[in-house]
Amino acid sequence: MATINFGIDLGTTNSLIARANNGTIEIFNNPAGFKETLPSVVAFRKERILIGDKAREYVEKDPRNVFAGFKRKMGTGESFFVPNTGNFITPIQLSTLVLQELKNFVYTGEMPASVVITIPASFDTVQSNATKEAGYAAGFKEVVLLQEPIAASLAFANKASDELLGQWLVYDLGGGTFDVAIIKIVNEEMKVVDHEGDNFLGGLDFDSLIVTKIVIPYLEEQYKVSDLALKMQSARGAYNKLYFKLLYKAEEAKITLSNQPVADIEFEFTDESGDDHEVILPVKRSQFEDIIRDRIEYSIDFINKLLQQNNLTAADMRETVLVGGSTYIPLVRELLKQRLQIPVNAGINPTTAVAIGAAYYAGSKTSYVQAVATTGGATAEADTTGIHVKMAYQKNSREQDEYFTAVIDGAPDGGKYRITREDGGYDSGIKPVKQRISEMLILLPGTVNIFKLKLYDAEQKLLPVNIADIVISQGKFSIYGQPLPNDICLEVDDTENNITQLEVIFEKNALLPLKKNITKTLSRSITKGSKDALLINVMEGSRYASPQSNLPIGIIAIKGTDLTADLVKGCDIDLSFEISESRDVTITAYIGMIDKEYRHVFNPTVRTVNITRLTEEAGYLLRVAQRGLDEMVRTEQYEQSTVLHDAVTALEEMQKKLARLTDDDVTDVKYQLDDQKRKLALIIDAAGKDQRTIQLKERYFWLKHVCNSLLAAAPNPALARRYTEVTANEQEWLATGSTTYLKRKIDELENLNWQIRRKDVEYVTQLYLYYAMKPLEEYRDAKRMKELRKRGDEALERKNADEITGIVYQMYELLINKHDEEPLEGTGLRG
Amino acid sequence: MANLVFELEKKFQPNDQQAGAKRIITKMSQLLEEEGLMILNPLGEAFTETRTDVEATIVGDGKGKLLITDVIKPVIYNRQDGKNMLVQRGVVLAGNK
Repeated sequence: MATINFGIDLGTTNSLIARANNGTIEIFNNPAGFKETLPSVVAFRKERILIGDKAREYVEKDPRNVFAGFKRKMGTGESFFVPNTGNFITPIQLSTLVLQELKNFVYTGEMPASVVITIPASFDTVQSNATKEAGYAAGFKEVVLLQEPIAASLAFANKASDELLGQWLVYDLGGGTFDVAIIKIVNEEMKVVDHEGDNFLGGLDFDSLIVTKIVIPYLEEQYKVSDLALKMQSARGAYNKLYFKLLYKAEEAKITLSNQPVADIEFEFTDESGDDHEVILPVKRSQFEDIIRDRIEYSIDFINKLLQQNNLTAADMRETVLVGGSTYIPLVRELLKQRLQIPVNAGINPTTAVAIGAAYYAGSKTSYVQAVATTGGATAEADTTGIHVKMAYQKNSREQDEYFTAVIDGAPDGGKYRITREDGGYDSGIKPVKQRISEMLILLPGTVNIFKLKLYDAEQKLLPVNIADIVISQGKFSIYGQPLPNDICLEVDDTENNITQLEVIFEKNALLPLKKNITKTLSRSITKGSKDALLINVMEGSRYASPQSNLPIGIIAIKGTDLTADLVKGCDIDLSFEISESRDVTITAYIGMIDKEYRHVFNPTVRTVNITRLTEEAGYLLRVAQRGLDEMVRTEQYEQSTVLHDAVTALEEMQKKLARLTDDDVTDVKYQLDDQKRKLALIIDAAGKDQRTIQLKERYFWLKHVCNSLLAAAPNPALARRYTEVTANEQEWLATGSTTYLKRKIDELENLNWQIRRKDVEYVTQLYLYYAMKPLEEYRDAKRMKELRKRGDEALERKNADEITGIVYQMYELLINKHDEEPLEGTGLRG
Repeated sequence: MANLVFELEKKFQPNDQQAGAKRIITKMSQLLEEEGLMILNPLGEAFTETRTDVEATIVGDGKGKLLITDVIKPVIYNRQDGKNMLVQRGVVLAGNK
């Protein structure tokens, strides 16, 4: 037999819904705002019903159409007139709306048919039945009631290691109300013996006291303002706006003071002469306690009264169980302990305790009806409503909101509709459905906004109508946006492989305008006054190709001669890249070390060629081509080698021409040479590519296999994640046939391989032995090498992988011929 | 952290002399954005009863067209798996211009 599982705390101020699941409890969050609590407030705004936080915003401004605290009226014959609808509404109907709203919190797709709803200990039979009626009206088929102090006690009992025995107090001090109850176990069941309360005592009073007793007197004295309280609390007062702001700040300070001895209240204040002041007012916990002490004492008087009328003393109580957000205040706990001389139990979140207890109870209570599973907004049952919905709206928008309209045929009389945005930022409220409905949908900028339209019958039960999502792309997703034809990349150094490579800044097909900020570090030091330069080179083309074959679209060269101080290897450079819709490329580089900003706007109609960079690239291409040529000759591929031979000749010629060019050359020679370089880069890249690609792929897949085996033998979640990242989109980039990219991936896998194996003592021992056995002549410092061997041999005995690795690194650094190639000039930006 | 960065941004806005500090704040914002947070300042935007991204205190008589006149806490969305989720409602004051 299934259990009820769902528990609802239908509170006077706030309501919550929770679910029991095999002994654990989940509290569902409001999909609008993701808070656990739903204020028990309903607002009737013209044609719209708002429930919860949005409704509460209008409590003071539109009190005749906004209803809060109606729980106290449950079971009375009273009903409220709603001017905006011209109808009367009962407390049961208002509670029904809150309960229905809570059902929307259940994201799991379940439609709970049975529920436990909590009621105050003071509720009589009529009030209890009224609550049940609200539950049934909200669509529950089975409603079980549970008293709030018992629910709270259950939450504590299920968390505490010790069993609750005898009798105890439940002290519930919330945002706006206070209740205290005596609970006793009678015949193995918890029972509320008696209770007392005050409907106008809670945390809101404390916030207000901070403002009126601490902040206002301070401001009056400091800035010589008279009658500030009046000027703040009067709707037309000059400081009315500040009052509301201060209430919020006071609440924050109150929360801080529960953990800290002092809380700062910070705000801007304009005095009556118009001078602005930045106020930082420290509030001590002792000050706060002084102003609220009376109110807490007053709540304890209630307890004494309650005990007295039951012929009990505090000593008869085992402990005081705390419920309600205001019980976080240390003074509350202290005074309770001091005055009653019994332990205070604060073992569970006091805000959610009642809902948790209700869910615990629901988890143990057998249900006689079945929950219905739903998919999305509609129930899983077939759409048999006969309702047809036709929607019309702009799918792409540059506006902050967009007009939506729909024609709805076959909706039931008294039916309602509601539109919500999936991210929680918009809610139309509940509105009467007509044949044609319309709404201004507010859009979240720069993203795809997904809205759901749901239809309800007159009793506000969800109708199983299949309605497609409303999907509107705002801002850059607009069809008017221009996609980038190629990747835009930054050229960076790969110092390990002595090459430069491309790092993508904006991906192909991203929509203009685009902006991105990144921080890079210097890969080498650049000395003040030297000819060396830091190059920020932005290129257009494929991120998988070599930098030399891409089109440079903007470059900033920061030369040693321009510097006011040396740039040290490793220092940060903040780079900002912007491409406007008209394709202007703006590069900004800020070097914090010398506090200097370099900014340049590159107009795409003007080609920028940097001679220093071009010279370096030509040199690099020449080396690559020469190496390829040598390899082809060695492997007797004479026919294919002619292409590379021609490329080498052309590059040598190019180098001569470049040597003759000055930085400020005004001819178009540099543009011709740049074109020629890119063509040659493509030729070199393509020469012998097939064979090279096969070799690289073999290496890549072999490394993948090794990594996989190593990770299977010694699982490591972080490295396994890295493996997934490295091999992501493999099919896509393998299809490009880019050897440059394939090499980069091989490097990443080799690095990963090393990360996995560096903890393997056996492996690092072999490495150590390799370097230790090399003749001393191959090292720069024989004496140092001997020391390292001695330390290494000791480390081998200890079998400490990290220590051995450290020694291997140091030995490697001492090697004389470890760099076969000349050092990379590169860009100066670490990849 | 996002709230603190927002507070700092607000403090430095009128003072253009603090370029260095502003740059650091911008960088902090960017780092948060890279982590998937979208921090929005709704100051000056229209306030309607359908906006569930803000928690408003309405100042004045609350009639007519309302605007967001003060932002105490920004609106924060978190982007995960291609989906935005409102993780913090903005705390604002709304009123007539």
